Amino acid sequence: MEIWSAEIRQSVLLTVELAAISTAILLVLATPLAWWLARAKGWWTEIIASVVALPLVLPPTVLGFYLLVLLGPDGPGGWIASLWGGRTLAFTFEGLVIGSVVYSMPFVVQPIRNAFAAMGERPLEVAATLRASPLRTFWTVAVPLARSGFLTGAVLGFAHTVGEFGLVLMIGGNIPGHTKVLSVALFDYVETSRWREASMLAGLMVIFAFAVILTMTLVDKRAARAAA
Amino acid sequence: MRTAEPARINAAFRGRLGNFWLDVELSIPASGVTAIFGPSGCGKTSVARCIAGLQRMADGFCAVGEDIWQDSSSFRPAHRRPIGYVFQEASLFPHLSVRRNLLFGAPKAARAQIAFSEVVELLGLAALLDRSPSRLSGGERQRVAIGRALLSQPKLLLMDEPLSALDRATKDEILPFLERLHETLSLPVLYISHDMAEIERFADHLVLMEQGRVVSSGPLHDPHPIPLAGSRDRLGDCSRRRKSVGSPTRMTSMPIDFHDIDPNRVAAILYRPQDDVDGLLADFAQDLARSGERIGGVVQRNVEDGAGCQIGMQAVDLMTGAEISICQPLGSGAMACKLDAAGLAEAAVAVTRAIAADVDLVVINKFSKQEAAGGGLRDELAGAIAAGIPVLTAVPEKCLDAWNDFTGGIGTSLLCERGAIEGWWQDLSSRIKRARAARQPADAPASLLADHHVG
Repeated sequence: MEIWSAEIRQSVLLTVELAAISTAILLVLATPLAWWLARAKGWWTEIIASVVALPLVLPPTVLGFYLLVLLGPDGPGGWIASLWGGRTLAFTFEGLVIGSVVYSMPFVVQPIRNAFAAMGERPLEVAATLRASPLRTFWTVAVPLARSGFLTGAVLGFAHTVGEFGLVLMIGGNIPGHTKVLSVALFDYVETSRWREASMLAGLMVIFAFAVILTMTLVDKRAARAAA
Repeated sequence: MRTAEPARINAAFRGRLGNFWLDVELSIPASGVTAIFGPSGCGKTSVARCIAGLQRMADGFCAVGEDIWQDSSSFRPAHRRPIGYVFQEASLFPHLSVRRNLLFGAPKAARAQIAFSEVVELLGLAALLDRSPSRLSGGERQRVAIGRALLSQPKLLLMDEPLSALDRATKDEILPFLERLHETLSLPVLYISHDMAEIERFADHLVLMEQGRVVSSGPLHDPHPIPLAGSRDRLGDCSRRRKSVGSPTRMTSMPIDFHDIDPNRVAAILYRPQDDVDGLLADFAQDLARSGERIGGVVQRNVEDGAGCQIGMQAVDLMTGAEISICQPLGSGAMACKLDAAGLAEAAVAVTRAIAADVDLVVINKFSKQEAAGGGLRDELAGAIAAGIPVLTAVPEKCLDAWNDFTGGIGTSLLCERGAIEGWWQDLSSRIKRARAARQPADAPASLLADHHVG
């Protein structure tokens, strides 16, 4: 089947790989951040929360611009790249991962934070009165109780990474096999008037988006049922 | 009580909590069930949370037996304190089955004082073990919560209004379990409640709290259980009658262990202005006198007109039934009424006569402002106490300090209701009769009080 070309397959695989790696990193970073945001009470909490939420309102190109500066040969990204003999993180897969993590952070932090906040102090107090250490309480009570928040966060993080365009264009460019993800590929096809491939990719994205929203709704419903 | 003592739980917490001050000192036995009783918002939950270590008061002390959990330099976090805590809502972990909830706090080591099977049997949980908490009724959930707390092998079980979120029927379903718990396990329990009916069923010791302070503390054990249900109805009648005056009577029902103070032969009842306990005491004493009991003393009561407006005061000699004096109000306020000098002299004679006749009980239904100030019937009260005759009086809240000075801190000061007084009298009079039948002289006078006041 010539439409499912090697080119498209490469883009799909690259996108999935990028989204999966980013989501994994996001979960690792967002969990302690969300825990802290949900439980700290100082005025600075909301400042940090606002910084995390910035990508929600910033145009992706603005974010991309700053990231480009930071990841470029003269920024910290260049120094990090030099550790393995590279010159820059811009226009590389690694740079794209970093960008995706920053960009999708609020979508992962927010649902997890909400889930931690929603459970309240009580289950944690109960665990403490049952001699569970704070660490054990976190893993055996807080995380399981916040699992719908984790699921929502992961799905949203994954979906946003798949769908990002402006940021990728700014810091990733359009290098097949390295930074040419689905959204950029679609743009490419349209520019070169390859409508069949473009509609194929666009259709794929619609199905994906639908699946994501359906999943989220079902997760929400299940969580609501479990809470009742 | 900022020292550790064997077999006692000593705690003190002081500081601001939200919008009120907590200033609590407690010393209770580290055995049996101790109830902390008080109106909502009086700080009793905070005390339990402080003892559990869920809340930290900078100025606090807590020792269970000789184990110090908190003092000025150390604070043991909640998860290192061997407690069990049952919250008002069962707060089961929704993601775990009943069995895994029960075992959450159970130590891994096999050696356990309270065995799983024992708890399952005690609380009737066998059929629920594999269910999810969401499929349990409110009462079942609370039973699981109690079992879960027990299985963590606590040395102290804290129960914070475990039944108050449940309806009547569910409470009745759980109470027998709590009673069995009390009978079966030798675990000290701190039971917080604003429902006296619950406390009566299984508490041994009572701590009364109001507005962030401990008002009183003492054993609740009585060999002759007081028929409270009936007396409450009588009290209800009384309060309905008082409503016409426009002052709602809200009585805190409280069985007193008058036994505890019997050696000193003083029973005092602390009351608040709206409680009208002095009136209650006057009714009670006059009923007794009419029914031929050998009691003496003076009761005073306000005289009201048909509209519930106070128009004067009446005093009655209980031995003779004679009215002593009715003084007319000097103004329109209630404060204008009190016994005048002639009336007071007459009242003093009445009490002295009662003491000389060696009555079974002296009732002076008020230890009020006059007595607190060193006048009134104060000397007569002291005389009766010194003569070794049981004395019953009522002390308004504002005179509590003066009363404590007067008795040297002996004598119980509690909010009370008629049923408690009657129960005390039944018990006391039957013992007096027994003593008389055995032709033994009455107990020796309360030397402590005698020294204090007749010296």
